[in-house]
Amino acid sequence: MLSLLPEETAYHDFLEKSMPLRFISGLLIMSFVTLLNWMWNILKDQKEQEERRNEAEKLVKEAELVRLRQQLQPHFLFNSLNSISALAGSKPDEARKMIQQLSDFLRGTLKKDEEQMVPLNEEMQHLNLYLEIEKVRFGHRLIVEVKVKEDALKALVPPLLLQPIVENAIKFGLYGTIEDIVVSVEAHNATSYLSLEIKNPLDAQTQSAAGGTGFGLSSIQRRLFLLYGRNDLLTTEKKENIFITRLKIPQLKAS
Amino acid sequence: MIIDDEPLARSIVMEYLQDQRDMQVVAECNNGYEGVKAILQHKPDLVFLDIQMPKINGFEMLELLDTIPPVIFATAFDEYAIKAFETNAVDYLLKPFSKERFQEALTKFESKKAEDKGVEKNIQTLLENVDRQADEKNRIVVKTNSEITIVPVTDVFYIEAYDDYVKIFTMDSYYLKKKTMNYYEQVLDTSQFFRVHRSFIINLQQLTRIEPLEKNSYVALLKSGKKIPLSRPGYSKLKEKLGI
Repeated sequence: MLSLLPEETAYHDFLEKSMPLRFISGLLIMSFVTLLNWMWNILKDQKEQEERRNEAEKLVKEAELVRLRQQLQPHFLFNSLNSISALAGSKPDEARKMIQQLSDFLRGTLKKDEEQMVPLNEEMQHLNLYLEIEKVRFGHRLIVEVKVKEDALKALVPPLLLQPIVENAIKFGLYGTIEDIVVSVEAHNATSYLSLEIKNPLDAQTQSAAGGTGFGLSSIQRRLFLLYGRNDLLTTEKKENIFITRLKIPQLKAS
Repeated sequence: MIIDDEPLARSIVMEYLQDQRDMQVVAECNNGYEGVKAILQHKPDLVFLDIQMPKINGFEMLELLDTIPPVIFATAFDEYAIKAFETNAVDYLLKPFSKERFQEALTKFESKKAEDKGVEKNIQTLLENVDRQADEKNRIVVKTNSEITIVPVTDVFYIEAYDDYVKIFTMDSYYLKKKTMNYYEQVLDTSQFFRVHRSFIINLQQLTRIEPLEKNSYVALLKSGKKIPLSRPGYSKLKEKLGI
C-alpha cells in the first residue's frame, strides 16, 4: 500500500510512527465494541432468565393454589359412597338424593378458576351440599347451625375456601369427642371485610394430646397468603371447650 | 360384633350377615369405649372393626384388651393401615365393599379358624407395627379397670419394665400396658424419651440432674424426686446425649 504513495515520505513517516498508536486505539475501539456486545448479550440472557423464572413462579403458584383448593378428602368420598350403598337397599330414594348431592358437590370442587372470586351465596350452596351429606352419615350426632346475614351473601370470596374449614371443624368435633356435637357457621359484613366465624367443640383429653395447633388450617393460611399477601386473615381461639376459627376476607371496593 | 361409628356402615354389615344362618350379631357399638365393654362382656367369635373412630381408633381399642378376638378390619382409606394389614396377613375390607367381597372375607375367616392359624398373634404383631409407621407417638391410651384414659406423651415421667408389661408413670399414678420396653424405645420421640437402663425409659424434660449413688453407679433425679437407676451403658449414652 505504501507503494501507492511514492512521493509522500512525510506521510509515510507519519504512518509509520503513528502505527503503534493507531494500532492501540484500533484495538481499544474493537475491545470496546466487543465489550458492549458482550454486555448486551448478558443483559439479554438475564432478562430472558428472569422472564422464565417469573413464568415458572407463576405456574408453581397456580399449581399450588389448585392443589390447595382441590384437597379432596378420600375418607369423605369413600364413606359417602358407603352410606349410599347402605341406603340403596332399604331407602332407594334417599340413596338417589345422596348420589345427586355428592355428584354436585364433586363437580363444584372441580370447575373453579382460582382467579375468579365468587359470591358468598355460591360458597354457601356448595357448603350446604357437603353438610347435607355429613348429616346423613352422622345424623345422630351432628347438628349444624348456619347464620348468614342477608347482605353478606353478596360479598366476594375465593372459591372453595369455606368448605374445607367447616370440614376441618366437623372432623375435629366429631372425632375428638364421643358426644353429640354442634358446629356453627356465622357470616356478616364488616367495614371492608367479610367476617366469618366457625365454631366446633373441643375435647380436653384429645386436644391436649394432639399437640400443635395445626388443625388442618395451615393450607388455608397458605392460600390466603398467596391470594392476599397477608398472614392475619385467619385466626383461631380456644374458649372453654369451644374452638373458634375466624376469617377476614378483604372486600375490594368496586370503582 | 360390629364396631363402627357410622350407623349406615353398620347397617350394611348387618344386611350382609342376614344370609349367614350360623352367625348372630351380639352387639353393635358406636366407638372404642363401647367396643371394649362389649367385647369383655360378650366375648365374640368375630369382630368387624372400623379403624377411624372418635377419640380412640380401632387399633388403640384393641390394645386395651388382654385377649384380642378375631377381627376383620374395615377402612375407607388409610395408607398406613392397609400397608400394615398386608404385611401381617390380617383380613380387611375397603369401604364400600360388595357382598361378594364380604363373603370372601368370611370364608377366609372360617378356614383360618378351622386350621387355627394363629390369627390373634398376627393381630398382635400388627398392633406393634402400626404404631411404628405413624409419624410420632403423642399419646398412649390406657385402661384401668373400667376407665379408659388418653395419656398425652408429655405427661409421661418415666416407663418401667414389669414382666410382660410396662408401667407408665405420670405425675399422679401409673398405668399398665402390655407392650415391651423395646417397643416404646422405638416409637417415642428420642429427643424427649431416653432409655437409660434395661428396665427404664425417662422423659428428659423431667430430668433435674444425674447423681452418683455408690462407687461407680449413678441415678437420674427427676423433678418429682424419683431416682431412676442408670445402667453403665445407659449412663454414658445419656451423658453423650446431653453433651456433657
